[in-house]
Order: sequence, then structure tokens, then C-alpha cells
Amino acid sequence: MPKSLAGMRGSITRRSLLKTSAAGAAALAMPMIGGRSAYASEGSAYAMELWEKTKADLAAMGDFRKDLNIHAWEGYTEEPVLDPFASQVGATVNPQMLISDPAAVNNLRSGGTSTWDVINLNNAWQRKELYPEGLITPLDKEKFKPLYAMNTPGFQWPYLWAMDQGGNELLGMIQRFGPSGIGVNTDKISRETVEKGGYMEIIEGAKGQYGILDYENWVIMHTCMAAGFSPFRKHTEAEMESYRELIFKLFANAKKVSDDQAALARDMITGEIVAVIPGSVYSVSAARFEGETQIESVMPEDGIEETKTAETPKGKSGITWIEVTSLVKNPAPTPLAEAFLVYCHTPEAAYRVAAKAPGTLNPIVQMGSPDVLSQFTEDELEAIQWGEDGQWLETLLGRCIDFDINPDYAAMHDLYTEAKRSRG
Amino acid sequence: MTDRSLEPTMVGAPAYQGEYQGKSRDEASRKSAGLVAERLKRFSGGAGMWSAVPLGLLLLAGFFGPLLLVVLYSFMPRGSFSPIGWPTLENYRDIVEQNFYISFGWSLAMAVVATILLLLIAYPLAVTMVRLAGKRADIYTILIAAPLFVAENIRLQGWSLFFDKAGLLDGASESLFGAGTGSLVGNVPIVVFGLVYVYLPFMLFPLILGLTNVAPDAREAASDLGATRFQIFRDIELPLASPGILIGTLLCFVLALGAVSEAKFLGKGVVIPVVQDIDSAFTFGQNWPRGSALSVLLILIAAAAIVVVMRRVDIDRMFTRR
Repeated sequence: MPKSLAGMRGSITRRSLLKTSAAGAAALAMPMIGGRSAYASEGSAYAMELWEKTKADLAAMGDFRKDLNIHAWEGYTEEPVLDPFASQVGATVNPQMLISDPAAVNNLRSGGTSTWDVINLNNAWQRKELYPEGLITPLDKEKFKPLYAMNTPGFQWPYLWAMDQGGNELLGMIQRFGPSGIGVNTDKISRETVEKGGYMEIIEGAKGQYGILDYENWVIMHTCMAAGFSPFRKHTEAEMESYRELIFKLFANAKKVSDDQAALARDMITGEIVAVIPGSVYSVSAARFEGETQIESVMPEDGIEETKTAETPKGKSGITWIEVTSLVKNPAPTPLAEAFLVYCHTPEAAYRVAAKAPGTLNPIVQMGSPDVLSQFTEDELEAIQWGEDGQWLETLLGRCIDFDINPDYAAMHDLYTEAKRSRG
Repeated sequence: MTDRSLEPTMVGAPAYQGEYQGKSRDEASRKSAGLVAERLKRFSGGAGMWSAVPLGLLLLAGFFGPLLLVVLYSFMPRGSFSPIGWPTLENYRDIVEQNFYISFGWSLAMAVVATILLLLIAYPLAVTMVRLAGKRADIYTILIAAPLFVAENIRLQGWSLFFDKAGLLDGASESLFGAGTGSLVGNVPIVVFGLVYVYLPFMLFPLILGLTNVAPDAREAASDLGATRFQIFRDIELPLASPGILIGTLLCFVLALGAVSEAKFLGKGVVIPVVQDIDSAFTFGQNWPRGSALSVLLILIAAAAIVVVMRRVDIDRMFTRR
């Protein structure tokens, strides 16, 4: 730890004790996801102190570029998150929301490094593509490592997807995450039915009654899971043939195909469709927050064979995503980029990233900190399928493998587009 | 009325008239070429030309630069993120081998049907507005143009909510008649409806412009000479308004060919227009060369339509009303 920060740790401990007691009983009885490390409060106090120090440093720094360009998913592009940052550091923030991870990666590859300062993508891109290609800059490990004390137990330091492949460099901060499976109107098909029947319960059992949430790479990934194998490795010819058959069936049997998650959630509410593939907490949480709690993200119990182990005898059927926010290797960098990452760890900003994005609410890893968790209302926790002490979310996550890069993506995407066109 | 307004025109004109027109065009082209050469000669030594060169080059680069990039990319191998490399035809081969004919076919078919419907709907409306000519016409113009100030996606989303299950129409008919309409989205006719709705102003205003070429005196003279209303429409109104008709048709066809939101918001994936394939190739597909090759083919189709139409339109006459 740098000397400038070393002095903070003593005060952090004293503050954390006070904050822990003030956080109340809600924070004390939390298991895995809902649980917290012994240093959770210490982490949030550190975040606050680091943020104060960062602001002071910026004020003393003098001349630097005062505009910050952010290319990110919606959690980081809206006023509730950006305005407090901009006003506190006197910056102009220019956000642009992502339309897809691959598109953003291509943007950086084709010269976007001169435009963007901060990039926020689902895990694996930074570790496997952006950093090896020299498109992002590692973070100051000593500065950011103590922030991991805020995280829930599954996301403690060193977290795989935030590190480079050698395990030495910290490539970004982690925050929003979520499990992805099947979106279901449980008034029409029970959760238990989908858990037992899996993807085929919808693709064949609800033929003509389900929608496809057309986030293309996610449709491909879930089709692989439904076909019985991981999307995140090389595939045999037989597997490619299984994938081809299933993706054509998936599109042929679907009633609606849309990239508008809100429209599909609405269709589930009205009974126009009974389910959506893929359906994650991300895509159903807004409807749930509006009181439509019959709309759920459901994860089949029986997973793919290759994930069945002694610890997880039923294997895994869904996919977990976690966003990693990194510093773009901009030839004219601004210190505001790193400051923004620090700011996002402050309990209030972290809560806003989770709960104030348009059209979606999501869990964040910093919910391991009582200072963060205590800000969520009951309705918000219900929306993200938190459950009793985080158990529901923990169960969903337990049935998921981590998002990764699909080495056969190009061939599979060709088949995906052919299947989609064949609807017409 | 000028003599020109009674010149034989292309719509419904016999073959010998077409030949006559061809000769006129050739003469006009020669004259124009001579004029241009003469002006260039005078211009070339002047400071004006040299001053205009930078802006001219900038405009040329701005127009042709992106097109050139797209063409270059279309010959690059998959996975290229630079337009410079060893060229290949694999993208075009893939397009032929895969079922892209479906999305091209749907885009073309829907564009043709929507353009025909737009003509049928907008023509009587344009005639009415030209004949009203005055304050009421202004009000109608504002009413028709006003939606253009609202983003297309928002307007289409509004229609989606109107036609969808539990939407305004379904709810109202349920409430009034005891039986709802159910969902009326997710089919091809509703996509065509969306195209017609969005592109109506793009057909209407050129038609109005074209119809203002039809002097009321010409109609009255034809009527005095015993022409029926249909004959006046066929032999006077239609030929004189044809530049506007052709421009409107061209505009709407090209715009509808490149439309994607209607199929997304109202079609709900029932058909995939080719622009959705292009978008997919550039974004999720990470396949810029494929997207570029599809774009080149779409540009060629649009360009062919433009060439066919523009050979029949005298833009100069249309806008100067000579």
C-alpha cells in the first residue's frame, strides 16, 4: 500500500466499527451472496476515504483533461450515477451506452482508444482480448485491492475475471453481475416445471408461446447450454450439428423475437408469451420491481454433463455475467477515468449503479458491504430475486457457469443468423 | 400555360414520343456538356476555382470516402478490422451460399408493396392539398410533417403499444364490445403498415411539388375540349406531375429498402430485413467484411433503382418549373 494511503487504514478500522453497528441487523445474518467478509465495512470506509483523497488530489493537480468519455452498459451512463461525480470533480462526462460487447470491442480495435477513457464490458473480454491486444491499462493494484473487502464472498480478491491471464495485473473493477437462464411467467408455467424440464420444456413444450430476447451472443450461448454442452470451448462436429438443429428449432418455435427486454417482459405479463430465452435477473427485474413478481428468471436444475462434479452433481445450466470496468489505453489519458472507478465504489454510487439504471436493476458485488446493502429497499431486493438473506440469488448463481469467450462463435453466429432468417 | 406543359411526357406516352424525347435528351446533354466545358474553361484560370478546391475535395472525400471504405472492407477476409489486406471474394460467396436471399427478398418485397400503397394513399391526399392551397393546406402540411419531429422508434413503439395485446386497441374493444382484438403485431402486414406510416411525408411532399406543375388552366382547357375526368387525369395531370411521382417513389423505395425499425418494433422478428443482417454483422457478428458486402449489394440495388428513375426525371424542370 502506498504511504499516502497507509495512514488511512487506522481510521478506517475505527470508522468501520461504528458503521457496522449502525448498519443494523439486516446486514448481520447474511450467507454466501448476502454475506460479507470480515472486512466489509472496512472496505466501504476505505472507498469513502479513497474517494475524498482522489477529489483532493484532482483539485491539487492543476491542468488535466476535464472531460471523461465512458462507453458502458446502462448502469454507468445515467444521471443518478454520473451527475454527482461530475459535480464533485468539475468534470464533463460524455457517456455512450453499449449495444453489445463485441461491438464495443471492435470500436476499441478500430481506433476507439482515442475516444474513450472508460470501458465497461462483461467479463472475459478484458482478460482474453482487450489486455492482450494492448487496448486497456491495468489499475493500481495497491489502491484498488482493499476495495474488494466490500465484496460478497464469491467475489473476493483476487477475482479471476478482473485479473490478467498471468494473475499479476488488475484489469478493472467489478460491480454488476447476474445469472442468466429462462425468463418465465410463473402464473403460466410453474418455476418447478421449468426447473425440472429445462430449456426443452419451453422450446418444445411451449412451442409458439415463447419469445427470444435477441441479444445474439447470449442466444447462442444458451442454445449451447440447451443442447447439452458448454459454449466456452472448441466444439466437435457432432456438437455443431446439435447446435444447428436446436437453434433452427428455437427460432422456428418462437412466437416473438425482440431485443427489447421491456417489451418481452410486458408480453409475459399480458400472457402474449409465457417465457423468454434467455431470461436473466437483468431482464426481468424491472417488471418485478413494478410488482409483477410472477415474472422470474428460472434456472433449470439439471445442467450440462461436463459441469457435473461431486460438489455440483446436477451440473450447471445457466450463465453468470459480471461486468468489468477498465481504463482504456487512451493516448491522452485523464485522471478522471481512475477517479470514476473509485467513485463507483462509494456506497451511494454503488447502490445507484445497481438500482437506478433505466429498465433494469441488478445485484452488485459490493452488496457484501452493509453500507451498500442497507440502501436497497425490500422491493428492490425482491426485484433482483435476492430472497431470504440472498439465498434465492445464491441458488441461481450456483447453477451457472461463468461467461467466457466462445471459440466457435463465428461459425455459430452464421448458423444463428440463418436460423433467424428462416423464420420468414 | 406554357408550351412545355403540353409536351409529350413519359407516362403513358407512345413509343415514338419516347424516341423523340430521347433525341431531345441527347441534344440537351450535348448543350449542357458544351456549357459545362465553357464554364470550366473560364473558371479554371480564376481564383474562385482554386479557392473552391479544398472544400470540393472535402465534400468528395466525405461522400465517396465512406463508400470506398465499405467497398474495400467487402473484399477483406473475415476478422479484418482494416480495409487494407489481401482481397477475397469469400464474403460474396458466403452471401450466395447462405440464405441471405430471404432477407433481401423480404426487404425488396416490403419496399415495393409499401411504395405502391404510399402512391395510392398519398396521391389523392396531395391533390386535395394542392387544390386547397391556402391556410387549410398549411394546417394539413403541419399535421403531416409534425410527426417527423418525433424519433421514428418512439412513434413505432407507440403503434406497437396500440396494436399489441392489452394495448389501447385491444383494451378499448374489450371494454366497448366485450371482445378484444388480441395482438395485431408480429406479422408482415403490420410491418408494411409501419413503412407506409413512417414514409408517408416522403411520398406526399414530392407529389405536392409535382402536382403544382399542373396548372389549373391546363385541366380547364382539356375539359373545355371535351376530355373526361379520367382523360384529364391520365393525359394532363399524371404526365405533368410525373417528376414528383417518380422522386417520391424513388425516395420511399430506397428508404423502405433500408428500413429496419418497422420489422423490429412491429414485426417482432416475423421477418428479418437485410439491414438487420447488416447491423448484426457489424455488431454481434464482429464481421465487418460480411456487413460491408451486404451493404454493397444493397447499395447496388438502390443505385439501380435510382438510375432507372433518374433517366426519366428532368430535375431542372421540376424545380424551376420552366
